[in-house]
Amino acid sequence: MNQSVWAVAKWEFFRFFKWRDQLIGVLSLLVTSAIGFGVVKFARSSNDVDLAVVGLSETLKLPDDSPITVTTSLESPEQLRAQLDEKRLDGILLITESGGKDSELDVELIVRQQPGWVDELQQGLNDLKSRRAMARSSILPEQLQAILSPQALKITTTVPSKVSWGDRVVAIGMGSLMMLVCFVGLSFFMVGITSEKQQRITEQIVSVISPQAWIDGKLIGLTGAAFASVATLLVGGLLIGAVVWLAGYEFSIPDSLSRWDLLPLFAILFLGGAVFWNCFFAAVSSIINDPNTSAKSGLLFLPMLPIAAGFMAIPQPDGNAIRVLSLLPGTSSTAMPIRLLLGEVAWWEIAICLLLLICGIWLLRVAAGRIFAAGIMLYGKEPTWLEVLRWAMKPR
Amino acid sequence: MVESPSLVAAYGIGKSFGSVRAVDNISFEVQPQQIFSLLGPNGAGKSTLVRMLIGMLPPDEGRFVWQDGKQNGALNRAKIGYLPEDRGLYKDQPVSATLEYFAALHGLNRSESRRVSQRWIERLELTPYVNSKLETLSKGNQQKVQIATAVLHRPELVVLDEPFSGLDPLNQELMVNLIREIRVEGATVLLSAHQLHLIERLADHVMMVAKGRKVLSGTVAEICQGPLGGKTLRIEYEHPIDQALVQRIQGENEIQGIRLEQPNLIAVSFGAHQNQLAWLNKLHEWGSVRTFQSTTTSLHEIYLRVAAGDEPGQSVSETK
Repeated sequence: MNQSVWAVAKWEFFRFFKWRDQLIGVLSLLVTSAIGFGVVKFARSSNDVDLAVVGLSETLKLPDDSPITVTTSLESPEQLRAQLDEKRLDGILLITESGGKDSELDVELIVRQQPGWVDELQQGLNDLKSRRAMARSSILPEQLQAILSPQALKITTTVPSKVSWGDRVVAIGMGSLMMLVCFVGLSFFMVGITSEKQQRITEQIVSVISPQAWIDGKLIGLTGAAFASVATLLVGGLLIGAVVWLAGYEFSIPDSLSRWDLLPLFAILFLGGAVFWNCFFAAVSSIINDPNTSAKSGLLFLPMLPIAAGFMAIPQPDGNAIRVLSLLPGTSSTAMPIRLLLGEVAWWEIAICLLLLICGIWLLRVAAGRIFAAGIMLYGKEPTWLEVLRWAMKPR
Repeated sequence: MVESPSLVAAYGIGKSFGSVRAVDNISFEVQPQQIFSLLGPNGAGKSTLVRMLIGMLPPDEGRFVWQDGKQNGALNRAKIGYLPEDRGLYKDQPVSATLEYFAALHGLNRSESRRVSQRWIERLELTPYVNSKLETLSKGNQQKVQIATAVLHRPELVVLDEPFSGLDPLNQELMVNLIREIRVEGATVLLSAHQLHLIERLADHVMMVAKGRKVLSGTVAEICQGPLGGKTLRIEYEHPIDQALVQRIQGENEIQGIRLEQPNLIAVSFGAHQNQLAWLNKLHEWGSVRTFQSTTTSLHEIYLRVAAGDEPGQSVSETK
């Protein structure tokens, strides 16, 4: 690979990936999340509710983490109302028997403003109603629970399942990261190439290096910038995870994250998939005259469909459709990693997947180079699809 | 491959875009270390010709033959420095980074790129702006950076399309000196420009094109003394001249043309072999003469005639 390709790659990488901006972005994310979680924690700790209950002889059971403290009061409603007005109470719950044969209760909540803890109170009242209904009937609570519970179904698999919910989360996360890489790559190519055309930079560059060398450099530099940007976001996400953990939330790390043996293969698939689609983005961007008005801009989002289709592998990692998608370049970058994590993949499938990916990248790179060479020199108008096809087929 | 004494020779070059004939059967030769100027009105086909010469566009007909025998755009890009007419740079990037990038594209290593960039920054008096983004520079300074990107790798052939546009007279002078220095350093310069007074001072050879065709070719002196050149006689009278007199001799064969520049000032153009003296006597009879002056017809005047389509197809000197 010649020196000018690396010169372009370096230039394009640092044109879009700026350390200072990335660092500021991560720090902003961290500060925002720290403030957010701090506010939530403070709100939870300072949100104790004093509720006076009048007219109830039984216990009102509320969820364990409920902020409501219930006090059975013998004071008159007027006295309690005065305490409410003086903000010594947060609410008064007036309960009276309706007197019907089912011993229904009339319940009224008196508060200064609409409260945020009604759902928790409602749970307690529902529980109270159930207990009263069971007391009137001869059914024991255990019997009622047995009646209402669904039919148990025991599933026996012949191949022991290795997949946990955590694995699924990791699979979804990996697919999402791939989509993010593609979105970021799309924006870099779109902005980069259309601005070069609009600023009339292309002719001078093409007089110095060949369009193929230019697009090759862009593919390396902008793919690298897209991965670096997403990696920075990932680091930011991990730091937020640390903030969440410090804030007192607990979560477990899925076993899939320790599958280091698959990491090289994932890296190849991710990189290959990104380069494959970036070739497409480069070709389409070069035939767009004005991204604000061009009908061709919508075409850039087309690759999102097959990439998203890879997510179908999550519920059925070894279905026929997914097995095909995991072999094709363009979809293999999401479907194959998900299958590797959640399903059974034969070695020959991996081999075919990699072979098709390499061939696909090579063919698309050549076609994109030809379209790019013609497209970047076209100012003020856009080619027809027939012209684009002709460019792609014919070497210049 | 047969080697040629000229740096590049063009034979019967033609190019059409749809039904538009942009370049029609043009032949010329550019000699090593020559400043070769391409003149013509907008839309004459100059930029298309230049793009074909540097291999950016393939000609429909004809061929370019380079000194080493290679043909049609097969010349090593590193040997060409090109400043396009439609030009721009990365406006959000600093001057030094831009120059270093172009140096690297031309194959220079990091330390060479830095050294060469620094030299051009000093040479073009851009030192105060070395770390400034291009968008903060004046148009003239942006133009200087643009030109530096085209020549910093010391190419054999420097192709400059409208290098003076956007420059004030001081910077135009700087550019004239720069082009001369580039030639002295051993490069050949192919120049397309509209500033004819600068071309007269710079060019060793001029080729005029109009409507895609070559209409004139030669040195500035050859063109100015050729069929379209000659002398211009300006006579200022004491009193306004009767316009009917001027119109009466408009079609005379013995002169190229006559025009009333002011009510009391006429300008008569003569070909190289036409007799001014006889006409001076004749025009003296029109009124009392205050002053008269005889000057060589300028490139500007010839250009205007060619651009107006008055004198197509004239050739002063044939290229080899």
